[in-house]
Amino acid sequence: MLRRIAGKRFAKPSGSLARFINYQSQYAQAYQIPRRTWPKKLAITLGVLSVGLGAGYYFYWPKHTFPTTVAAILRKGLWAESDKGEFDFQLALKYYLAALDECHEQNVSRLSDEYTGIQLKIAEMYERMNMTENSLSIYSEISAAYMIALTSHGIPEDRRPHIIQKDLRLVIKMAELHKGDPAITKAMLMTHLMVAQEEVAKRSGKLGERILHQQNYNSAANPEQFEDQGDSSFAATSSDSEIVLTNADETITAYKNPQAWLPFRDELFNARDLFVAICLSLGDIEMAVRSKLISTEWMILAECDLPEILMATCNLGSLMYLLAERSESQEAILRKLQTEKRPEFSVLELAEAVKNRAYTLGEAKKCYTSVLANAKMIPTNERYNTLDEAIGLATYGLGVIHLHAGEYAEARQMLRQARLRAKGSGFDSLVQEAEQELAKVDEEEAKEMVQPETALA
Amino acid sequence: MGVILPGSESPADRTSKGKTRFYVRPSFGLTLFGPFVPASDCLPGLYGLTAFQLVSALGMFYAGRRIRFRQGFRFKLLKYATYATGTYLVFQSGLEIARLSLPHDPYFDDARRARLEAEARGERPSWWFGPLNWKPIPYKQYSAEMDRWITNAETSNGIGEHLEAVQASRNHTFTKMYAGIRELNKKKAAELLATDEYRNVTEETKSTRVKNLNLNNTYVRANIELGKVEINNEADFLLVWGQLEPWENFALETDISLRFIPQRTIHRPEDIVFLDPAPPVDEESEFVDSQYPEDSE
Repeated sequence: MLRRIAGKRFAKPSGSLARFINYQSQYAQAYQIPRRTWPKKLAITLGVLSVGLGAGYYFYWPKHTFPTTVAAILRKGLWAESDKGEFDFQLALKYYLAALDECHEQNVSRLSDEYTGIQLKIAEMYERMNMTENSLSIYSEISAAYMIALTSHGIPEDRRPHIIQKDLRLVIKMAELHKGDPAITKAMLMTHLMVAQEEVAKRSGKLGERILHQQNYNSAANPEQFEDQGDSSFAATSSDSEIVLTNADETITAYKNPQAWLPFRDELFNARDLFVAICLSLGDIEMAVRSKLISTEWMILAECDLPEILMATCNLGSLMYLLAERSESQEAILRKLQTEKRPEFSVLELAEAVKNRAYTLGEAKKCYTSVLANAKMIPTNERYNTLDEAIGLATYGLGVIHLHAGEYAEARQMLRQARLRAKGSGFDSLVQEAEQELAKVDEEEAKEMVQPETALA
Repeated sequence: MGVILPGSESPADRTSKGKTRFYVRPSFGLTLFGPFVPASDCLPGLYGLTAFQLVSALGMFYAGRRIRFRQGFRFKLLKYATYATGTYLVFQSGLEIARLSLPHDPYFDDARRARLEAEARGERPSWWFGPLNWKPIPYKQYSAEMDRWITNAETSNGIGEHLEAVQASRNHTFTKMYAGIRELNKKKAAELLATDEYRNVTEETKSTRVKNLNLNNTYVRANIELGKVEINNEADFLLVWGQLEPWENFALETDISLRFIPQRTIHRPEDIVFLDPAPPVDEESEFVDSQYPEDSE
């Protein structure tokens, strides 16, 4: 039939193309080249379509591979917990616990998002009903399971970063919920941070060695052994692909490696900030400063947004200022010992305290001024809230430093500016603090007016 | 103690002001498409275009095969030119596929970064081209980056092996810890469900119980409002569960940011009181005189 149609259509060929096609059909007649028939074409089309759809389903369809029995129980749980079930968290908890048992029956992997998702729901119900202890231990169960998987290398390489990301979220939550001994929280944070940081180190090549070194320095009890960490400030010059850390003696070039920090970058730096806060609450300002210092360098390497880096620099400045305050209080004590002519007085200690105070105050000032200088270079249309907050905090910090130095006019000006900016960006706690500090400026100035000779002493 | 200060780089470094200049997106094997090459981070575009090129190449072979039984130099030339073009296109496609299948791609990183920056500025970069004023890194930088990456990969392997051993040594602790916590959680759940209160938790007793629930007032996450949404079957349930994905909610909940606000503490000699009137006094421990406040939001 095909032959006949072909013959008819090209019965009177004209022009070279038509002749050429005619040859084709003659050729087909002569050698019986099998042509594709329509059922075959249909089959191929269907095949291609189904492969395409299958792939689309596989890659893009949201997958929740709950076994049907588990899904049936969870459905009741969701219903009970919702407005339809009058927010009956007790009943929901009962269903979620049953669903977890059923998962166990059905051998659902304990590392899967399905299993851990149900655990999160259980923890949520506990927390909603004031059973914080229970939810805390659910979170630690998930996190311990993750840690086993991560340390035994029992999961595929490409899943590790996602597990680490979830683990860090759990750790942040646990640190927030745990109201007991901060030393325990600190140890927990450190353990989990190490695993995350080692993952980054593993993916960072040469830089990885530096990251591991810094990690050890961060957690060391005697940081003095790390001599090469220097006693002077590094200025970081950042370009597209590298940062160059320079001080008087040396230059370190580190290539940025944003991919190595993903996807858990934000979680990592949040958890590190919590670690810093806990060090502070334990009174270990040195470790807090060391951690924050390393965080700031890493944030540049990981290509965090500039406003985030500036906020980190502000926080670093604040920590430096705390060190200055502490040196000052040591200094005051030593001076008192001196005036009372007590035997414990030591000239060397006093000299050390004076030196430390001047140094840390200088570093704090550097941090704040660098924030203001860098913030100026961001065009106004590209600003967002974090940046405003960072500028407010840096201005405030400089105000406090002026107050520290007894420069009241400058202090007042800076603090008022900071208050204004904090109001603008809705940074309420800074507004309050600025007002308190302004009151201190007034108080100090008034005292100095009354007894100028004491202030000079 | 060193301080890291962010550098003095202009943030709008590679985005030219005013007039938008368009730069051709880099590729190895898609050069024929000129300005239509997609941004290096638009993988569907890159693979799609490569596939299109490969299919066209196969089409050329097919067309070439159909030119036959014809005398004359012109037809022969046409035939071989078609084959040559096909071969060239196959080669080019192969080149691009090879490049794309490398585990590291500096062009991708560069394009991704440009796109994220543009999004942060509130622009809406094109899906295919990325931000229009983006200037891709030159080939020289691409190749330098690849070299560095290869050297790094060697170091990484060493570090990886070392870390695997280190981490394996911690495994035992976690295994023990996990077993303990798991038992504890099971016990806690069983005990809770065995209480009289929870034995009465059913649909029927709801009205009296719900009123007397002891709720945590500081809990942040909103309650589930289904409204008109029904969850009558498994498909409905999967849809709702996907919307309320526990891990995504959890991510929002744990996204914290801390700000440390320093305070001036005034140290006056008259405020310092030595508890011990006579020597010796242990330094500082008896009179911690200032609290270091921190502020968290």
